[in-house]
Amino acid sequence: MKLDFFSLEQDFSFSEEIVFSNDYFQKYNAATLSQIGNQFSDKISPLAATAIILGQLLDKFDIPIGLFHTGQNVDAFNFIYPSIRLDLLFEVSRATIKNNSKFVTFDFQLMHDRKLLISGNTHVTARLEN
Amino acid sequence: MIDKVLTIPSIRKKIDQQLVNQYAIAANDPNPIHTDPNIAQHTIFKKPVAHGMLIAAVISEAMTLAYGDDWFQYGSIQIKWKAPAITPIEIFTDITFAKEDEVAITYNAKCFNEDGTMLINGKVSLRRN
Repeated sequence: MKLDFFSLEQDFSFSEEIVFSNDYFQKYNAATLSQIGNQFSDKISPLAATAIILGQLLDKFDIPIGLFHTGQNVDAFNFIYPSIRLDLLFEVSRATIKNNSKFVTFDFQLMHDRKLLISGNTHVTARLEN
Repeated sequence: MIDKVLTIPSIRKKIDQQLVNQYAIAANDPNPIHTDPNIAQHTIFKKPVAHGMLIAAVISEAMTLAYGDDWFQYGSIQIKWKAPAITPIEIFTDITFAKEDEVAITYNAKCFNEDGTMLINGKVSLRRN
């Protein structure tokens, strides 16, 4: 059962597992018309990882019509390698309503064996349904 | 210790709806605001908008070209989207050195469309420890 975006409250948290496929970074580079060649293909860039993390996050919800991304922070601490099961922790650090719109910030941490690989926060908003 | 790169290359590229659809598949992004015109017409944008992260990818790409995989391990990005990217659109980056100290090298990072409208404003940095 999917979560209701408009019912999200601050401090709500959940965890997931994630595995980046071997060819994910190449697909990401193709889909972003990247000039980066295959020299980094044994690792995943932090922003590329965040892209698929967001996809996995959004898939947890019934996506409201008009939901969009307003801001993104990402901090890298260690390399991200494909084909390894990683732990992904999400926490809602902000859930407010203003001007008939809901504003939510998701903090996330991507970890391997308790070692932090990247952390970040994602800001999204959607107008309240009538 | 990471050495400062003074000039970050500007990257310019054209993004069309086909690429947006390709990105949605690559990133497993299920939000129809990017790909479904029937859904998008009920939003404030009225048309599909490119993923913010697809636009932001040019900033990460520029930093990777400048710093290689140090960007993957020590990089930090803080951005806000200032305007929607309605396809087809041509975008370009403007990343300029801001400051450096023992802790980090920091740049102002912006992305514009072909009309000069700012799409992204923010900062990128590399930790030095």
